[in-house]
Amino acid sequence: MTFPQPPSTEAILNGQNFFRLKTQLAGAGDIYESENSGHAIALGPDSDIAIVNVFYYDELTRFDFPSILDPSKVSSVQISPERPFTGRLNARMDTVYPLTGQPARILIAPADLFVPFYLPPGFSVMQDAIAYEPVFLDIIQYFVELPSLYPNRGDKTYRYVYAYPTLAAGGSSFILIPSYGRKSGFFTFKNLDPALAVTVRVFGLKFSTSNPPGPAGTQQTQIFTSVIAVSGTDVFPFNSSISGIWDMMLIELENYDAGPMPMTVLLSDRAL
Amino acid sequence: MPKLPRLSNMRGIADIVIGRRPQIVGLSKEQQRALPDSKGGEEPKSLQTYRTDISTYFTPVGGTHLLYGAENWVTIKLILETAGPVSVGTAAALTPVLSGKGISLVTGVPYERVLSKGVRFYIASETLNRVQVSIEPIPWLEQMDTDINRGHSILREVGNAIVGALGNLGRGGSPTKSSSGMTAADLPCPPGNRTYLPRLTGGPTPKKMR
Repeated sequence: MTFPQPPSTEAILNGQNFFRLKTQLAGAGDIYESENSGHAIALGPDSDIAIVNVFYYDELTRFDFPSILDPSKVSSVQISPERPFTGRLNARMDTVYPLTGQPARILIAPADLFVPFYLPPGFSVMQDAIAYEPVFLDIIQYFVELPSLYPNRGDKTYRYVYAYPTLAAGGSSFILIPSYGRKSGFFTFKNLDPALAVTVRVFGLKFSTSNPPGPAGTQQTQIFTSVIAVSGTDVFPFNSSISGIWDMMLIELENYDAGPMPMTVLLSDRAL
Repeated sequence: MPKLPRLSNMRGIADIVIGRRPQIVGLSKEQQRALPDSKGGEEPKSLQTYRTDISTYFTPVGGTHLLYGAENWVTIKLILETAGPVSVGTAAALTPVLSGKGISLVTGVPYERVLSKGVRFYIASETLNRVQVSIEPIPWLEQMDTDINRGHSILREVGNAIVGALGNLGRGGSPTKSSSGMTAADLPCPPGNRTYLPRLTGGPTPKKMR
């Protein structure tokens, strides 16, 4: 998280008609805010997070549960790549959220779960290596009414030539890539190591809040494996209707010896 | 025959009838100070009489703020560039913004209003917002307003003079004289068998309005 986060007022002073909050997530509990009202709020093109909760001040919250008095005056909407929210959400700086006493700003928090430093089961700190792709939250709050709003996350492409070298022989090198809500993808692997065949595995990760929390509760499922011979190549077309929708993709390179290993990963929101 | 003043304007008429410049009575303070011949140098702000002000206004967070104090007749045009809520109106206390004490600006929709002389125009918002402001003076309306106010004053004076003259006649007093010292009997009158058609003569060239 960029701290302090960029203020929404800066966008207005700079003459923009939208406030873009693009920030790298640091933890699962990150909450961001906007001090300005908007006519629409949507995911930005570079967001890795797919589902985001937007909280706002609402006098009518007590009517949500007729039998239960809800004094929070907090309502929320959930936005996703297919579902922006087009409607006025006011930042009510003239009042406070009753339960916290804080000014009634618009609050933005990822609904997708995020484990910052996930380690796969059996990961050995003595011989394995892992690289984390940063996870970005990209939100756009529009200050003006738009004639139409059809945001779509852009496809995301990751390109590698080398992975992290393993710390000892027999170890694996891992790469962790966010894939929240992605429905299709395409993985390519090419082994340019002069002597070693490399075993490639791709896992899907689904984080959990269950007990035990954190990495231990995460569902990790292998969705692809291949042994790539010297100068060999392989591809993995990812189809969510077959392989599932995952929070992150974990690529494992076994028997990797820091040689050139060009890899490309493309992830898309479009279903195959 | 004494030379009569030209009947060029209302002030001339008043000079003839009551023999002096009219006193500005019965006008509001704002109206009086807007008259060019008001005392104490209370001319209206010269910039407001001819220059259009165009600016971008960033609403302060919280409270009601004076957006414009109209010294003259102006047209004010506002366009809210952000989501608001922003309330504008003539009440000095517009908060809470959504209370209905003012009018809420709508994003991208121009709000235009003619502000009469003396009106103070306020704005309130609880968040930072960007508002396009265009203030355009209305010189012709300003002049007309000034003339009408002066005319009202003159007519009031004239009426008082006539009432006074009639009162004097009823009491057998001396006839009212004009500024040239002539009474009504001294003025030339056409014979009864002749009809005079009024001849239209050109008045003074009006000053160019700025």
